[in-house]
Amino acid sequence: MIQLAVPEQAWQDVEPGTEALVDQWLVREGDRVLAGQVVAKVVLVKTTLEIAAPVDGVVERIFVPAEQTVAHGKPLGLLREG
Amino acid sequence: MTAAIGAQDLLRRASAGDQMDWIAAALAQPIGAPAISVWAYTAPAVVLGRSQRLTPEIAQRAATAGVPVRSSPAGGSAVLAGPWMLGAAVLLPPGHPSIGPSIPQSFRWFGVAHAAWLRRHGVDAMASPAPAPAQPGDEELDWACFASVSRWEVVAGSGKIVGLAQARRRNGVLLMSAVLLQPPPWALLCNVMNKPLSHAAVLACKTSSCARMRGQAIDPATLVQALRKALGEQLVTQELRAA
Repeated sequence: MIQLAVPEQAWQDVEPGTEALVDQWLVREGDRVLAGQVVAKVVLVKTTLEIAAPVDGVVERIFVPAEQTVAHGKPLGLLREG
Repeated sequence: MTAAIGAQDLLRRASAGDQMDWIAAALAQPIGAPAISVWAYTAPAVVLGRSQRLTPEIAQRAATAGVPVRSSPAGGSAVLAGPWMLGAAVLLPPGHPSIGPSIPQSFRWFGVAHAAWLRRHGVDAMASPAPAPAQPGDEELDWACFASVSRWEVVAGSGKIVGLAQARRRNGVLLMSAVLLQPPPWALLCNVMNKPLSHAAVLACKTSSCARMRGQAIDPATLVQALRKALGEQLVTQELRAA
């Protein structure tokens, strides 16, 4: 399984304790996605970010639904490669 | 690289809706070269941050007040655009040197450029290197962009005068600003957003404006020039570092 997460680089220089808000999921559990496909949009420090699938696969789980927040290091969802 | 700067720069006197349409069209395709646009808004409009929802209630209240509501592709929270505000949008291609490795670093040059531009117009402004400490009750006002100061947003006197927001897409990066030329009618924003009128008084206290700071009359075109100059300086700095 591969984690879907806010890229580590996006958290650089961000105040500790800040969380990202999931704005929108563009896929559902069970959807097949391609590497590079945008699967979700999140907001972090007045910035919208696109979350892309790192590999081809199937969205296995969505842990953080839209309008919920996620802490640094926590996954948004899981992707089954293949 | 510097030769590309300015190729698509523009100054528009139009609505915030026109601005959002222009930005949406620009972000729908890969951004090939930096583009700067400055918008002198001709009419009031509420612009929501990307994560804010246009509820039926807000839509109804806006319709009653005769104020259009649009959603920004960038983060941040609600602003009331109008003749009291200038808006800037800078589009940068992926990998451009002015896109910092971190989110705050991308805001840095943008905020610093706005502060320098304001100072040249007699407004004693500075880009804040740290977020303003939270005060009790601030969370009730997190719906409004100008209620808080994030890192590299611009303050003048004791209040915020420039709000910033950003969108990072595969096609490129958008940096946006909102500059208060005059105090906005905060009560109108509170009304549309269905917030207590007491929030309007707090927003008035937490903000500044060019008029309040007794700055000189500002030609919006000078903001285009200031951002163009700042982008050029960013490139020179990066080239010197790489040399």
